[in-house]
Amino acid sequence: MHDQETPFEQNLHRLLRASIGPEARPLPVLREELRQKLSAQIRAQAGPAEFPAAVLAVFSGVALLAGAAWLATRLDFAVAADLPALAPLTVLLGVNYLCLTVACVIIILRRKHV
Amino acid sequence: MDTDYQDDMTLARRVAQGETNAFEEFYARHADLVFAFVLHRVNGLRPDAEEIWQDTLVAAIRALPAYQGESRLSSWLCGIARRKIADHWRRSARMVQTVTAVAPDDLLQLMDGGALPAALLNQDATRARVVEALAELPADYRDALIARYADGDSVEEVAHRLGRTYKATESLLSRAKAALREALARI
Repeated sequence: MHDQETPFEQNLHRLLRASIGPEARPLPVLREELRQKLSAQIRAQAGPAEFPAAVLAVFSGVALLAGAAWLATRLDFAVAADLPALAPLTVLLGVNYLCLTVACVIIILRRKHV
Repeated sequence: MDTDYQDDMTLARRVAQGETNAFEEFYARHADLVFAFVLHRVNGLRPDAEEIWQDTLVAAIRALPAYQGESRLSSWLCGIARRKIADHWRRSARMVQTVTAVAPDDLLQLMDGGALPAALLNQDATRARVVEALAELPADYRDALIARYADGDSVEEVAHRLGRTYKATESLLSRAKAALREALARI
């Protein structure tokens, strides 16, 4: 197989096989165990991924519009007329809930992918 | 910082930031090399090598944010392994010692002269020196040499493994051999 190789190359075959060939490698099971352990260590070390502010802002805007539209179709304007502060408060709370829900789902999904 | 180590710096930073792909690349490139380095440094004692190897990589991951590209990443890892080996022997009551024999100064001349004697091939000092020299090479040189000479792949197989053309692989192997000669002469 190595007939045309120089003595240096023939020795390189023997030296590298002895130094870093299959017999000088960790057992596959152990190798995989350590890989998983280090992978978990890295995830713990790095902490949760930073949430991109631009994406959060877009989602908040979408949530705001959707929440406002949804509430507008359902508000009891008769009650709102008696208690003028109730309508804007309901809108505010509804939108807040929507934003929180969307942001939380995205943050959780991102953390799972790290 | 030496610009030659920019790739290593980038990889280390990405691993430290928790990038899964970067970690897989880091592990594939360095885990076996560090194991071989430790194994030959502890006279081939596999149980000791396995323990030290794990300690080394756990410590290395923790210390990665501090890696500043002062040496090649694989050499940096061997440095951590060296300290772990010393700690290991200090803790253990056994009188087994790290490899103290020295590979012959004329190893390169011997390699050019003819078949190396089996006694020299089986010497842990020789093997440790070869692994240390490999650690000083760029990752693509090391991958090519290991595939071609340790795993016995043909040039075509190495080319396929590295995603290069036949000609490019031949050229890479040629440069890698020259770099290994230099590293062996230096160490």
